[in-house]
Amino acid sequence: MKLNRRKFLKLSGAGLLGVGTLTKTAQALAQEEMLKGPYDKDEWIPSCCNMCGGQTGILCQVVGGRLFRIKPNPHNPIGFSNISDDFFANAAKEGAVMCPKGNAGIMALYDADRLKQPLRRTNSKKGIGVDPRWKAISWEEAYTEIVDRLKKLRDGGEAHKLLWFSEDHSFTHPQGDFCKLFGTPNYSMHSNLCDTGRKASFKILMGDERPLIDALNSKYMLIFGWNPLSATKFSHLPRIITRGRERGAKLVIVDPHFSYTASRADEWVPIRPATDGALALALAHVILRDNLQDQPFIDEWTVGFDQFKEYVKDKTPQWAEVITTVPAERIERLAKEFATTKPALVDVWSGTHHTNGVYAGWAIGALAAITGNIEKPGTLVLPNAKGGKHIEVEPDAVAAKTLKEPRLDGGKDKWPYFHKSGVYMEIINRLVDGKGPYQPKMAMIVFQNLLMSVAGTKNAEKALKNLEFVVVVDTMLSETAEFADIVVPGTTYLERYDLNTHWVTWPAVGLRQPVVKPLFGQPAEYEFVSELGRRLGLKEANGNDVFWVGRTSGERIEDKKRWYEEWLSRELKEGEPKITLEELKALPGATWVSPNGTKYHKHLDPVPGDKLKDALIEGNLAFSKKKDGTKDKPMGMLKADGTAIHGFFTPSGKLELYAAKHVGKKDAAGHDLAPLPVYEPREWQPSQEYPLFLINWKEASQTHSRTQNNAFLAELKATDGLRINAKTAVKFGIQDKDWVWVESPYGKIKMRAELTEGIHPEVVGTQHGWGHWAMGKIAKGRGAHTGFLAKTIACPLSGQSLNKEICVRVSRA
Amino acid sequence: MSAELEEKTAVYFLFSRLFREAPDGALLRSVTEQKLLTLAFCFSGDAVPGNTTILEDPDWPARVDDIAVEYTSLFVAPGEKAVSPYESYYCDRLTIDTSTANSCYFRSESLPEGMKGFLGGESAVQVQTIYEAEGFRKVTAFHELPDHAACELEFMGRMLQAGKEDAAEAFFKEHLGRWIFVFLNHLTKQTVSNFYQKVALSLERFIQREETQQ
Ligand code: SF4
Repeated sequence: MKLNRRKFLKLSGAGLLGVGTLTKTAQALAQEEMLKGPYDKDEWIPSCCNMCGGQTGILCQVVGGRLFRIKPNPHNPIGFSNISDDFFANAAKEGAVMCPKGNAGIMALYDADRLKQPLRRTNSKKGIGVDPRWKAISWEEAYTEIVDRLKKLRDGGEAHKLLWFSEDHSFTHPQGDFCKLFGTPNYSMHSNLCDTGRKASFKILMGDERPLIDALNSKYMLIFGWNPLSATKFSHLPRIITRGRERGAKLVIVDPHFSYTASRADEWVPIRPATDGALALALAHVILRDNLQDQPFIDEWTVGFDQFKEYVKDKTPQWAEVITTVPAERIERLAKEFATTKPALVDVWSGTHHTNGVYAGWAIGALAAITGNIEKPGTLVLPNAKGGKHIEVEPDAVAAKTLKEPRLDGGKDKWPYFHKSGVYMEIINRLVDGKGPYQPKMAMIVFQNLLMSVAGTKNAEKALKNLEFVVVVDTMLSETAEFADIVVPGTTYLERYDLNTHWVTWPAVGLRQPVVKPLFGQPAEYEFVSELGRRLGLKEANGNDVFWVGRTSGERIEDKKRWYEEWLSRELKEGEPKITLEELKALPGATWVSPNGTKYHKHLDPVPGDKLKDALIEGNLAFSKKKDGTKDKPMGMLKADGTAIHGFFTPSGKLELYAAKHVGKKDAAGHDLAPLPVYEPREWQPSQEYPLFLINWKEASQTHSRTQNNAFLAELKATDGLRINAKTAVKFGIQDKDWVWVESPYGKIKMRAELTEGIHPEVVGTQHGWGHWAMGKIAKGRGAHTGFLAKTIACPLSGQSLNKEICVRVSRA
Repeated sequence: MSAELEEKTAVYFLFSRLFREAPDGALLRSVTEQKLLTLAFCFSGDAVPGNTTILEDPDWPARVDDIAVEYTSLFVAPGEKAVSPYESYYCDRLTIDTSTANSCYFRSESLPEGMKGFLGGESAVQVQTIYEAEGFRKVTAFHELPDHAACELEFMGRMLQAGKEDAAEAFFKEHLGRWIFVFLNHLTKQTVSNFYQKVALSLERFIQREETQQ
């Protein structure tokens, strides 16, 4: 056979090789200069971390367009302290901190398993373990197909059949606005997997969803179900808590698991899961029995004290011992210590992911109220978090029509403490059983890995299979992405913008900005959303082209990055900082910090007269008005002289130990709402068949289920096993490092037993987030995922997902 | 330019194209009908020796969709089958400074020698600088890193095309030649359809010969 080499020439001559990867420059080089922007030289760019939702200030060293190093940004308080005096006086000399996850951010940016091009599935069959047979497609194809699907829904009057899921702290405004202008009421986000239970507890008690701890100035810290020294959502937490202890505070940790924080505490109080409320009530019983309460504060600032006192009368330490397994004498002692050491703080986070969690959190908060430990240095303090202003959009008539449809999860009508983040569990259950008001057709899932985060993985699988079309936007090919029809590569936090209102006790706003260009030229998520809006021609009621028009210039802007810069600029200008984006960038550490600092006793602050003038008055309470003149948010309490003070933003203006508004109302499960922080056993209790509680927790080595492919974090801690009390293990014939089956009525997983004294004998537990079967080479196959064992249930008051309400049996594998 | 150089250029362009994106039907037909992989495999004389095994499979043009799915699983989508087509992945190390980590939980020691297996490392920056120095930039529509196999192969072709054999040789030594064999080795080891196996085989032989000639 004769083959001639010269055929290569014919081939290239025929143009079959198409456009290459490189092009000659000339004017291209000039253009390139522009593209390179300021990133060509060695420089430090201030930004905010997003390896978790903590938003720690960071400084990024960029050399030759490449991120080289990340270090903490001392100009941003979140990495230092939540109290302004401490921050202003000490941050510069001591320097801020970030956690190991923040350090490992570079490895997320340059992860070899990142998604880089849109993918379309070619296998219509979906399921865990089913190969989607991805085919890489162009951005144009991805946009066209997604927009076609969206357009069909909207044109057919079915815009509400689009479900949108997102993170709760990244570019939520453009996504929420898109949903509104498109016409779906079904925009949901992560918070209901996190702390909407806690939010509800404190909303009932004090009308604020997120009080913060002033640990630095405290003398006694009583913490339930929280591991703040390791699960460092706010990276200042370890510093302020350990400083507080160094200054003489006692730290008491109530937790079924001997967490890292417990190991650094003065006392660990192991407790049976989901009985924290009973312990809190017994503590209150002792305090009131022995008259250790702050009666003047109670008289002035609480309602329902008598009913509360009456309720806890029989909640004796002996009563609680039976329920919680905490010895009665210990409860007596803790109550006395807590009530007589001032200032003291009490708090709870995700330890209340149980059916009775909201009442438990309320009972815990009540301890602060009866001891007067609220809004004072060293106690529980209202955050005063103020940042950029979300400029609301007005939907057009087409969108307005479908926005009237109920949310799939039932929304406010169903959940008494419904949070705007929605109720994932309810959405999943309705997708599975089809018993919602309608059956959704399409989902847009942005940085949410429902398969790994929703309680009841098999249910999540069924739910996703019941959708006609799923789009997933993510940096990784997550378990959930494997159910997508189209996967869109997202950007990491080092490649995009955001504004962060920081969770400290005075207003501070940090900027996240692109420190490098998106690695694969992909659009940042806000650019992706605005491209969809543009192609769909979504407009406001008045015809305003929101996705085209710059919010400060009022001009049509082709470049979507610039368009978003104007968006942020306007939010800043009309929000608390009152500066432009450029001005924020120019501030030290690109962080705006209010000079006014931490304020205590904010409930005593006067309401400015001009605000009060426009208020709606009901009894002795003043409310702001909505556009239509109806009642909006509480504003303050009237005094006899006609002036007003802030008070607390509850229906009574005071701390509520008794919530009159609960009377006659039902929760989502149809039970009467209790007007008191009652203790009720949680629903799923251990049985003969499934005798052990299974809990899970977070640690500093990983964020949720999303960072397990990070090489550095895997190096810190490779995986996690099943922690089991050594005595319990003997009972089940299990030895350390044995492989065991962990089974519930919903599934079965295999784990490595880790025997310890550091867990309650009725409990087994593990760090959440392991057990990936996709996501990347590092994440895959490490540990096990407890979601397979869970039931898809939500807290009937708040809609909080209940990933910790599981009972199991354990046997040698 | 000598005919041989011109042909070599075309071979580099062909392989660049094969790694750049999945081949379409027309390209698959050309490759199959004109036995281009076989030609590259025995790129030594005017003709392919009579006893050479033909690498091409006449099925390929009909399997264009399967090949696109396979291209994606090898070079685009992360997963079991993925073979990373970047120099940085094989040659660079990423270190992170943990001196400022708030690690009351971990003693997070920096790993002094760093870790391998990342994208966008120093190699990517270096090759980009070389491209620019030679008057090239990455086309905007190619949303990839500059040290992607398609870019580096094309750059080799571009240098030969411009008669800059020394530049090509230097680039081969400092960049392409440092990793392409490992990459092709991984590719061959994966259980891939015979299309990418043959692509790997052919390119490996072609480059081996180039290397020995240099
Ligand atoms: S706590 Fe850690 S991961 Fe979270 S934002 Fe701060 S540094 Fe980043």
